[in-house]
Amino acid sequence: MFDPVLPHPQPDFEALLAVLKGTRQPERVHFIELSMDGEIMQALTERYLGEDWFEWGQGFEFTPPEPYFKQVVNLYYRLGFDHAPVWATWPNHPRPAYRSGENTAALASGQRNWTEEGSGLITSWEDFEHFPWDDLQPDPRPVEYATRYLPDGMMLTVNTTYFEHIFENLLGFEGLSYLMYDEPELVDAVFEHWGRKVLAYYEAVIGMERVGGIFHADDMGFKTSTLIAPDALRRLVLPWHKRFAALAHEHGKIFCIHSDGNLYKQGIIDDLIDDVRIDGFHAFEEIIMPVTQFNAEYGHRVATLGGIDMDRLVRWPEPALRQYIRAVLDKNMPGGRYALGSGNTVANYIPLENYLILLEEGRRWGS
Amino acid sequence: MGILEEINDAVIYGKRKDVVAGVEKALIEGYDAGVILHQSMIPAMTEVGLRFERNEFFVPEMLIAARAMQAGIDILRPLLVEGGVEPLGTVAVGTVQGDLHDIGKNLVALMLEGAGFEVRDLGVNVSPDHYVAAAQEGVQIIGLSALLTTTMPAMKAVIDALEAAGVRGQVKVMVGGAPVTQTYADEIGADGYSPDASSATRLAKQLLNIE
Ligand code: B12
Repeated sequence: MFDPVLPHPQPDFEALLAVLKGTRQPERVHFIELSMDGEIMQALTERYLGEDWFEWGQGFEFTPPEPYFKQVVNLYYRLGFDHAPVWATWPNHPRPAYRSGENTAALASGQRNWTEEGSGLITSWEDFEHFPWDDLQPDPRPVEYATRYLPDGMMLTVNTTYFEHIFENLLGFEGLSYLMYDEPELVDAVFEHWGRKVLAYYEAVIGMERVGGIFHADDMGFKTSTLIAPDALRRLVLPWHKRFAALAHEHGKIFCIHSDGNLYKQGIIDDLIDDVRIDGFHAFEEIIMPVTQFNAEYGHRVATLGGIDMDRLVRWPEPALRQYIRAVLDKNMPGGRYALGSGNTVANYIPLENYLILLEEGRRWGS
Repeated sequence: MGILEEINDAVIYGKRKDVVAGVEKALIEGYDAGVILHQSMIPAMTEVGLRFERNEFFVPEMLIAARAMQAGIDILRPLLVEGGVEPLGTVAVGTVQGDLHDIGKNLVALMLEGAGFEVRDLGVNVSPDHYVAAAQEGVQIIGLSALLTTTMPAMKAVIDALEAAGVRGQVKVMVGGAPVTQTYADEIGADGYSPDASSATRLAKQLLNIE
């Protein structure tokens, strides 16, 4: 039986960086994730570390207490990661509307929450003016807490969402869509105000010693195209990404980005690489852009992160899944600039044994 | 530009007020409601769909065009009913049980309506028996939407429920959503799959042998 927990992990963020930048050949497979669902972290911690898990069931409007970060860092460490992701929290942020439904995941704890896509917290200038912008200040505590437990050799990656936060929570996707035509100035104002908040957060944490870089999360596409017109992304979103990236680079740190969806047909991916100057790109679906194809086409310009297709991770039988992951590694490992991980996140509906297969194949590759 | 072209243009660019003004003007000029719908507004939505497929239009543009068309239809509806203008067919669309993602399904519904179908929106988190009920009430097509692999199996559950209720032969089932593929559609015995809301209208027509 494969034990995902390493007896003596040897995290080496510097090695990961060198591999992603292409200045060093990988000596082993490095792992990367944007996030793991609580249920997955809990199951791994309880079953394989034999430790209790303290679940923090609140949204991003609350900052979890210190013990939460201790266990997250510990888990990533013991699984063999060189980094641990720390998501920003936004205390005092009004709670967005969610809809809850049955959770069909194997490891479901409680209901599944779904974003209210119809409209968001801001639907008018009046909402905008009443929004507690001034109360939203960067909260460095998650990074501080995580840092206290960070083993030598490991670094934190920090992140939050900008465009995604706007279409998910502040305006809603349909709300944003209509307002782009009905109240374009309001849309501009929301993007400007939230952009400043995100920048302030990154400014507050990027200089911290154990922060290795920004792993910014912003879905900009879906199945067949970008979520909004590419020119709208270029006007409203990418200039902020460029600021976040420049900030990271000024501090000698990396800026990687997560975005789902098809960013290829309209060349947004080229803007990200050439203009925003991302160091790594994350989020792949086989039906949109197989990770191996991405690496072949763009791998000389940017690091390829993760990419094991979610649908396959969930549904494929063991032999096929193993073969697929091996094939991805065989193609993407030579030459470096690749780290292994899921195509999105380790969601609670990925059967745990399938995630273990990913870890095992990564550990075994090349040996 | 003739009034029908004006309305067509206003729908394509989502100009709700211009659509309303145009439709009112066209009616005063003596145009038949069915003609306004079929020669101006439906072709406009078809064009919107094609631009969406070509990645010239995106979700916002599709939404505002559909909203503009809706404003025109609101004026025409009583006249269409009076004139006995028949829809192309009836479709019930819903997001399957356990899945509460709305917007993909909404766009499919809007485009089907925009193509001249009568659409029953069953909403999100729709249990198999609601689809069965719709089939029993005579809808010709059922459209199933899902966002995540974890909710996709509910599509198969709908097909099984239609079988069990003895109505599978009466309806066509089409499926779509982020993780859904033609292979998956074949695997669960659906009648069709399409990758986006615009091609969904062509699929629906094909399934009913229209055109
Ligand atoms: C926006 C988004 C989100 C948002 C909003 C989700 C919500 N409503 O709650 C946020 C950021 C919150 C989110 C969260 C998550 N997401 Co998400 N998300 C997306 C994203 C980027 C776009 C989805 C979208 O809004 N599309 C816009 C609409 C208009 O498109 P659409 O739904 O695809 O519909 C079109 C077509 O599919 C078609 N269509 C739709 N229905 C039908 C029906 C018929 C009959 C037909 C013919 C056609 C058809 O027509 C529509 C218009 O053309 C997708 C990426 C992708 N490839 O789509 C990932 C994606 C869906 N997410 C994914 C994941 C994993 C998650 C999370 C589980 C992550 C996590 N661990 O927490 C959560 C789960 C959310 C939940 N509710 O529990 C994965 C799912 C993978 C899988 N195979 O299961 C995806 C595919 C990304 C990836 N890289 O793999 N997500």
